[in-house]
Amino acid sequence: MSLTSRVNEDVVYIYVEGNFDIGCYDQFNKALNENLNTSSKFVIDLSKASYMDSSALGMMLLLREKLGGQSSKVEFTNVNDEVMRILCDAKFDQLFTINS
Amino acid sequence: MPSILIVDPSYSNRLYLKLTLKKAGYDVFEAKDGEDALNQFNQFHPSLVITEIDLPLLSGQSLVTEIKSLSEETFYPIFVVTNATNPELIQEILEAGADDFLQKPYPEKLFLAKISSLLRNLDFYNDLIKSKELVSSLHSSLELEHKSAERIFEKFVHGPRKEVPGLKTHISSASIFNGDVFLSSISPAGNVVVLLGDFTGHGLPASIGAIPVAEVFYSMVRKGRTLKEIASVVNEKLLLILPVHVFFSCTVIQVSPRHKSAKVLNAGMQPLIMIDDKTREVTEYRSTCLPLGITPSESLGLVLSEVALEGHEQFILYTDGVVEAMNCDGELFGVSRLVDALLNTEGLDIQRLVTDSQNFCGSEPFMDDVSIIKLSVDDIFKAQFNEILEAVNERIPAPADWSLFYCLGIHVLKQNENPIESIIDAMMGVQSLVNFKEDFHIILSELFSNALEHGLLKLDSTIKQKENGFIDYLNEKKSSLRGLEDGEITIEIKHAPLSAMKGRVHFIVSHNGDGKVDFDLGQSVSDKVFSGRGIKIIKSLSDEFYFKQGGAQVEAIYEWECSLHAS
Repeated sequence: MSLTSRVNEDVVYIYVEGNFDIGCYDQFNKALNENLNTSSKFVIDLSKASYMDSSALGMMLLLREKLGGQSSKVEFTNVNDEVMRILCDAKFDQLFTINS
Repeated sequence: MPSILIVDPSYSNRLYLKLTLKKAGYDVFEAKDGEDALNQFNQFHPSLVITEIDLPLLSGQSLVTEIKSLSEETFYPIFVVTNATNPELIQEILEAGADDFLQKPYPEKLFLAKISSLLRNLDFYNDLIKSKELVSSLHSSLELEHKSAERIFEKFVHGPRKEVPGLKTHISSASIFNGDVFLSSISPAGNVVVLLGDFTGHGLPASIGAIPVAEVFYSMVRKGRTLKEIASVVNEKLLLILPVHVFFSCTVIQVSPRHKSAKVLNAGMQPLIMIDDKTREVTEYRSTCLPLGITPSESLGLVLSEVALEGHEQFILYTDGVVEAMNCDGELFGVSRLVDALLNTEGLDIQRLVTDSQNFCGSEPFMDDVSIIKLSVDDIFKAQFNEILEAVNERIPAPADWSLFYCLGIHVLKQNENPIESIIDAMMGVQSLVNFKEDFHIILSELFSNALEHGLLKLDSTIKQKENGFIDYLNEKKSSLRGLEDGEITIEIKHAPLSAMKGRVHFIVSHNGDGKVDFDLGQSVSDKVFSGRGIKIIKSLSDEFYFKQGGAQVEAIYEWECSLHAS
């Protein structure tokens, strides 16, 4: 797994490759803390993510909380079927904007 | 300052070394032969020993061997500074355990640099030993804590409870402390309630939340609370105590042998599976609401699925360990393989399922973090005459004449969204009919919400049939209630004894709004129409049902009998 981030104006793009799990936590936390105060939106690009486990879902809740509970500031994009199923089973579509 | 022992038979060599080292700030001891060196070493425990190879009484090599054998637990660096040029001699003393060597003559700077490098190694070594000791003491205290926690956990979460019929379980020991929670009990009305859930993450933080969940579950089931209430309270409690990134996914089933029905809640888990043992038909109940502990209960979207039971159904609940088992190609075992594995066995064998999942992994590691529960409706239905009856064997006191009257004015209606629970509690306070409490709750809740939503607020229940209509309807209800200026709902509950074991309860709910609670008794009620469903449920539960004053007053009559379960 790996997690990289890129900032474009005030939008943070986070790219996840492979399994999105607890192994991404440090990189995720770094991207989050570096950009939290200067960014208006986080876009999580999952085009290369093969899988997402519950600790990754937990990270998303952390992100949501740090952005003041405003889910509109977090967007998932390029979500494949497998990951979409995981997000929908957890009903995270109620909390976040998810684009396939 | 570190102390250094110099061992050299030559006085001038010792003097030179002593002066050089003292100038560099070290404390110095000296010895002229091997035995003297050993004595001084034992007495002063210097940080470093500098020795010549050729020594009187005890050779340099023996000295090294002796010192190293004394110091298994600690590290005493030995530095050989020698006139010897024979490489074999040097090789031997190094093999005996000496840490470094220098041949005379040497530049003083090099000598001092080697000394400080050896002392630096000593520091590293000591730090390492300290951390090792710390880790090992932490480890043993953690182990002890784990053992005690496990005992408390065992007693509390998996402790004594009513024996529930129809359950087959596979719960790996690794899963208990990994955040899997399995709870089961029987409600006073004889309903079997089973919960299987999973906290995010692993280890102690994940498992600690199980304790409040178990506490709420057992106490609320015992009091005959509804699934929805139990889920809401668990949710609120977890929301309060869990860290943001930890949440609790769970599936809950309540099987009611009396009504031949079940209620299913899936909050963020993989699909719960129901297999008809006779037709082998498979139904999946997918997650309908967020996992618990994330948002307040009112925005969870708690929706239960109602299932009419034939009696051959088997429910399969599982945590994600099985379906997330991965093979060498990175493929997941998945839900469809799980269903196939079960259907391949005669009696939907869950042990075989675990084996299949393990085999699927092949040489890849199988995380033994697996809980699978099978709940057989057939066994519950068959068991009801003995086990369930025993479990709900509450003594019902002789029935008496009594009545309760509540008048809920506009302010109370606005402040208190769900007054029914406390009214039912008040009923139980007058006469404990706890075995029928769940039925009372359903009847009174339905009557009350009909009077409020259609009588006073005049809501259009066809909204509910649209997509996302349920949420729209709730929002509509909230805003109309805020805008409501006048209105009143009265609730009257009358009880009359019929015999020592039998009684009759009248629930009369009236409102003074303009809305028509247009229940036409002849109206056909389709299962898919949410609006009519409430009335259908009341009619099925109660013995008599009347509309009066054009629907402004509704009365449901419920007859209870103590031997109801056995009939």
